[in-house]
Amino acid sequence: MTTVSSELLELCERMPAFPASVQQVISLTSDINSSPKDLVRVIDHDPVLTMKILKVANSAYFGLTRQIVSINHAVVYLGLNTVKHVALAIAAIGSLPKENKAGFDMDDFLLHSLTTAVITRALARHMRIPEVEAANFFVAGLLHDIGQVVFAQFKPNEFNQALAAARKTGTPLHEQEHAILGNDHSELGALLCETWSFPESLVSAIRMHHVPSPAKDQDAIRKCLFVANLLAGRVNAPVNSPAAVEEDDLPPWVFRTFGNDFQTIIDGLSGLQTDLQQATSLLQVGQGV
Amino acid sequence: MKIRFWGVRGSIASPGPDTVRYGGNTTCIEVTTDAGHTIIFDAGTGIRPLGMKLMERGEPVKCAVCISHTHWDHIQGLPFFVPLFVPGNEVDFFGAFDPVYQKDLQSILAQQMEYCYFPVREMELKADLRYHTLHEGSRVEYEDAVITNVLMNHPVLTYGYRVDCNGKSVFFSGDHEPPYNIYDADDTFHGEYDGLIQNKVSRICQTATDVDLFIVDAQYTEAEAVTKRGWGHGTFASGLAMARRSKAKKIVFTHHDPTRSDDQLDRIGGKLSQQRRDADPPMEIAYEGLEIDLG
Repeated sequence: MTTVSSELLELCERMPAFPASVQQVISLTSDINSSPKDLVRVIDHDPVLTMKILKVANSAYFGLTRQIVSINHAVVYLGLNTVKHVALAIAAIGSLPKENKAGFDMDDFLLHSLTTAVITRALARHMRIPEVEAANFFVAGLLHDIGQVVFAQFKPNEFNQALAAARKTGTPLHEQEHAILGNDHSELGALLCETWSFPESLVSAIRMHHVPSPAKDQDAIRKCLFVANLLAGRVNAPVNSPAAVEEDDLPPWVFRTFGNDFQTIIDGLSGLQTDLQQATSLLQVGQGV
Repeated sequence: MKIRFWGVRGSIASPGPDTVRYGGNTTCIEVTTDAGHTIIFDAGTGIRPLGMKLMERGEPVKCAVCISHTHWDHIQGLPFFVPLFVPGNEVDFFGAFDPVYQKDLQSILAQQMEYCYFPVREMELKADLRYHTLHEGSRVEYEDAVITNVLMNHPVLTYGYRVDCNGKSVFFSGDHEPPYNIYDADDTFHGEYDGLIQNKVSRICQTATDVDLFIVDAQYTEAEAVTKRGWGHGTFASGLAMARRSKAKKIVFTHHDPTRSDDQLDRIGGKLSQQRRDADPPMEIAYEGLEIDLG
């Protein structure tokens, strides 16, 4: 698959967001005294809302001169009220179901996406990337597995087989997706982002998030996302795709850049635990939904 | 290039004894190029008398209408713009795509002429109408003028427009509130957001740089703006600050609040003159019938 079929694109356009975010978007937008930053926080912690708002902001109807990666940027560019109403329109579609035919654990997916987002941004800060750009790293982490939700929603039977095979054989999920679905979630996520004119650095980071880049590669987002995805598995062991990557399998630049081993890297990221707690606190809000 | 104000009111048409001198019609500004072509900023109720004047010429009307945004006070005069009903006239509309309703300019403008709102449907209009949905930063050549646009900050997507003709230029802000930082000073994202705001303001001022005339939304006074944050309008001070930064050669404040009386506007004008710095360009408060010849 080198392009996304128009049918799948249309399905993705109508894909609902996560239940907790939908509930909060509705509640915040109906409260005249709510703070705009709370709404932004809900949007930029939900992969589907983020993807769809970036799609609008980067659409050919607006500026083609710049590309918009963060929700804050989208808010300043399009205006707060426009973003609010786009979010409300997405919330009106409904929510992603808690249970799906694929047997895909949505809470686990969200936890892994947020954990990866926070760690990708923390690695960027560790590399002294300016804060404005660090926001792009967060988005890359948040969206890197978005293809999995698309599979779970629209190819549930095949995706269920891939999940089961990955669990049974202890092999990476993306390999099983390739075998069963003919494509994997990293490629699907990248194709969606490419179709919607997201910045090339984001597309390539998502596409290559299972592939370690060469040491000389200057693409910092890709480097950080690759490592963050692995570290996130250590911080919160994923249920959906538990295959672990051994440190010995990784190229030496990972440890030269970030630290001697996974635990040292995690311990060296300042403020990580607080940021993780803050990012995942929204998940608890949704537990009762 | 000549500029004439046909509607200077914001929000809603406000006729009455208190608005008789500055005028009660909503936004409509006529730009006449050196070669005599007509470009109109917005189609508030002021476009009705403008339409009558254009028809008086006794020849086919050809004009461009640049819509800053599609809130009622900027489009409501359109169904009463007589040139649209007459065969042989040509009108080019320019404006933005609506990302929330996912509709282009034609669909939105046609909607206010649907059967339940107006007796004549858009498709029944006899003039030759052309709709152009603009990207931000577009450059459109219209007769002897060039029209460029930039995204402003308002509760609906809004374009500011600049028109250049033979070395003279005018910028119209449409409705605009200077974006404010949604984060508190000690929030992690405050600095990032501030940087994004600075970029946006720079982009607007770059588009308006060195204009001969800067027409800006000044609906509120500073005191009023405190309770109207997020409503999407500027103040006399914020308009002046943008004009200064753009190095504009003259400023006109418009989009007066419907509650603003003639006497209040006189007082505000007096205060602005007193507070004017030496380096500031001349400034004026818009009134219906104000004409400015940029030469």
